[in-house]
Amino acid sequence: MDIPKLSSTERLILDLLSGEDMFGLQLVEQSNGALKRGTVYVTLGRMQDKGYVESWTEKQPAGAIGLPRRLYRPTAYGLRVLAAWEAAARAMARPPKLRHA
Amino acid sequence: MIPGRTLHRLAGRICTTKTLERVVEPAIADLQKEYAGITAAARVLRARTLLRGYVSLLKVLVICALSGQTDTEEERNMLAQTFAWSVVFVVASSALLILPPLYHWGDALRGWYVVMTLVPQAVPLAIPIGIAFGIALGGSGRTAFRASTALLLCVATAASLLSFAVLGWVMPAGNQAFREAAFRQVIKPGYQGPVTLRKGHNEMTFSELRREVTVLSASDQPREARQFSFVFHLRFSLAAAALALASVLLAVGATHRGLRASIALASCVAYWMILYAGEEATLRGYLPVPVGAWLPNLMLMSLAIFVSSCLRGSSLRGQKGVAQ
Repeated sequence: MDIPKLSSTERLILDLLSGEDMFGLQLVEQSNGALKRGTVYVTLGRMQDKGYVESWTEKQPAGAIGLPRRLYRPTAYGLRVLAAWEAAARAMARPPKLRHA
Repeated sequence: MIPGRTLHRLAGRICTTKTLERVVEPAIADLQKEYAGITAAARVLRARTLLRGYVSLLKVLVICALSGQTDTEEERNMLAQTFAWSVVFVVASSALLILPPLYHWGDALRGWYVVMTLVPQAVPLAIPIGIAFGIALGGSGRTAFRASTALLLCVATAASLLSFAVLGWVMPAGNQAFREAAFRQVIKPGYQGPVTLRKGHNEMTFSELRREVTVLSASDQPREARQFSFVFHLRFSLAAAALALASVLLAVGATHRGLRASIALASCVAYWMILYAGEEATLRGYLPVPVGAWLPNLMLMSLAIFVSSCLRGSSLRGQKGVAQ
């Protein structure tokens, strides 16, 4: 069976989200420049379509102005895909054992 | 004041509900929270936050607009390639147009400032060339090329608007700045005082051109009046060149990239030849000024309509479902 596709950006987002639920801007801040403000929500939207993450809007206190922010967390499926990719990456990184004659 | 409200309304018009909720609104919410978190006294920080937020929001909106217009990966790739090739050709054409004056003045006129004053002169000519070759080399699949006709026409229209802005306001100022730089460096080297050079037709704004036409007409100088009037109308017609050239390429709708590039080259050459013929005919009084200035656009647009009606279902546009 093929492993579902996971880009490096998606891997990074799942990795960051595996620790705690986060807002988009928090992801940008914690990625050390790897994620950009202009594209992070496009990527998160695409990941939501693929079923890797789920999101909901924060509960705003009474009298708060402006739009509510959106919180993200990985789905069980997203974490399984991430684990599969990490396992594949580890397997590929392992140097082949040479047989001595 | 809460920032992002206008952009939110704009996004509501161009994005789907899902995109609005998942992509645009969180970005606006970030901007609003960040802005609200900064005290009113920190004006510079507030301005920087607003600028950064709006730039990222605009980026989001452009992505949404493009993703809403393009249905398939093939179309998105085609659009990205069209954009990339257009930029390459605009830059290359601009460089080629800038080199002759620099070469002509030799070592007497050097420096980035001089080059920057020449750029606005080159860009309005380079934009139509860039758009034509961008469309010609950008797409490879028949389906994507045909399906994106409306989108490519929108791109050409945007390029025309940009070209118009440069022709109308940036180019006259750039030309005048170049002449002043040439005066300081070549005619009177080392001169630092104020320079007041009489503007030529290429340095005049729209209102100055109109005023000059009235003055020349009143002083019985019809040829000069036609010259200034031609430049006035040329600013509009040259801006529409990108749209005219794009129309021809999209009307032919050839699937083969090489054929499209040949058509782009032929269209550009034909455009400039007709333009010079139109200018001569106008200055000699054979054609009314607006007709002379708009002649290349009128001819190419007519050709596009004619070709489109003749080639409907032609083999030049490729077999259905066959991608080159």
